[in-house]
Amino acid sequence: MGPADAHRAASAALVLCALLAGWLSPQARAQDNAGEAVSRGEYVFRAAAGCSCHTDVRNDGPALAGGRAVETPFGTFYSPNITPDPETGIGGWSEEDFVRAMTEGLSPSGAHYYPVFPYTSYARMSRQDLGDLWAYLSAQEPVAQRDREHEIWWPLRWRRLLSGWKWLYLDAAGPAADPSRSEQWNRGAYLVNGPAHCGECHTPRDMLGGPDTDMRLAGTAEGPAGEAIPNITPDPETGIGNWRTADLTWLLQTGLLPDGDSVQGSMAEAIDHGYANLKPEDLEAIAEYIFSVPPVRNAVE
Amino acid sequence: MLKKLLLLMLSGSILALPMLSVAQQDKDPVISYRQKVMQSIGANIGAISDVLKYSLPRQDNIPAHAEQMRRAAALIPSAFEDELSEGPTDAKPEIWESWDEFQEYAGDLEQASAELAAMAADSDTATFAAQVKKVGDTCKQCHDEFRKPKEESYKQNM
Repeated sequence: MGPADAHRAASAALVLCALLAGWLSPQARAQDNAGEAVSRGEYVFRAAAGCSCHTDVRNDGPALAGGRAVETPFGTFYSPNITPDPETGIGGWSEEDFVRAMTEGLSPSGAHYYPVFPYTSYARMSRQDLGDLWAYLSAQEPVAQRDREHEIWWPLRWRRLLSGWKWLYLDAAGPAADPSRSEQWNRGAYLVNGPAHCGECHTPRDMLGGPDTDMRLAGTAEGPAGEAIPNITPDPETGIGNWRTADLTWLLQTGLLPDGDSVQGSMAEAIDHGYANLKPEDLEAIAEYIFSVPPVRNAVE
Repeated sequence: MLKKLLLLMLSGSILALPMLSVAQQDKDPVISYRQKVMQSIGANIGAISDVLKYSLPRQDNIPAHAEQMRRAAALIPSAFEDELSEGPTDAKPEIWESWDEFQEYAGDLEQASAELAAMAADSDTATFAAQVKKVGDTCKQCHDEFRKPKEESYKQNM
């Protein structure tokens, strides 16, 4: 190879490098952004209690592949597979399909979801958080596992009834914002009534399965899966009015109650898979909001 | 009307008093003892929690509390040796069906408490909190499997 050839080869290599760099860098940048969305999405996922209803914990089921039974007065519902498997999960969905499911309770084909899926709360979530959560879920391990059919009272299988239910309740979750309050209060209201979906278990339901808005967060002896759900309004006798802020943030951080006992049931799971991973300032915000809601006298026994 | 109602309530509570004491006498000493062992663990992790969450200037006491917890955890297997899951107790019969696992869980609490006891007293709150959560997780692990859910707890019927 003569010097001219070497020169030509070097220039060709340079051009190739330049071309490759030009081709790679936007790609790399997009990947970087996607990576950021996934890590932001993981935080949203934790704020949403790690979506642990979609994991059949009791039977050591694969993460997020659904199949967990949720017993309600209307029958037994089985959570669906939300891994990105294209056949049995949500791998074939678009981001817009996901946002519509979360905020309108509609499947990609336009069928109504039952409100056991807490879209009334998720409807309060920001578009940014929903997009990030979608990025996170899409980055999880796909699991091929078919959804199990709900075992519910037969007239309820007619999903069109749910449009009436939505008309009544789609806007029934607590407020997500109030401009007259502090920034911290607003953040707390957003977390509690949006992603963290506290009211889905802690607010009792009326005969139609909608939240009883006069009893917001006041607990119920007949919660999902037959659990007794405590009153978390600041009523000093029957709620948590005699707790300090630190008692609540500590509980969400460690799963330990003020008397030193460990919290039980689905709350322990929600803390473990979710709330324990939240930033201290978010836990403070949740506490500020919870202690500001109207106290409701309701002894859960 | 109101007077009668008050009278009724009063007589009701007087009647309920001897019933309460009977219920307490009915508690098998085996149950009573092991509940106190478990309460001592709850009291110590509760005390550690108070120091940390309220920022009390008692952080130097944490190793002693953790050590007491470790020693109480070591007593769990002997405290639960007698098979007794009926009456005013939250112990599930599964304890004695899966005795090895139950003992292993008690060992996990012992281990996590020892780790907490060995931490430097001037560690920051977040580091302490992470280890306290590990201890709490061992409580939860065992309670999930071997303690009656609160809906079935004897306390509900008291």
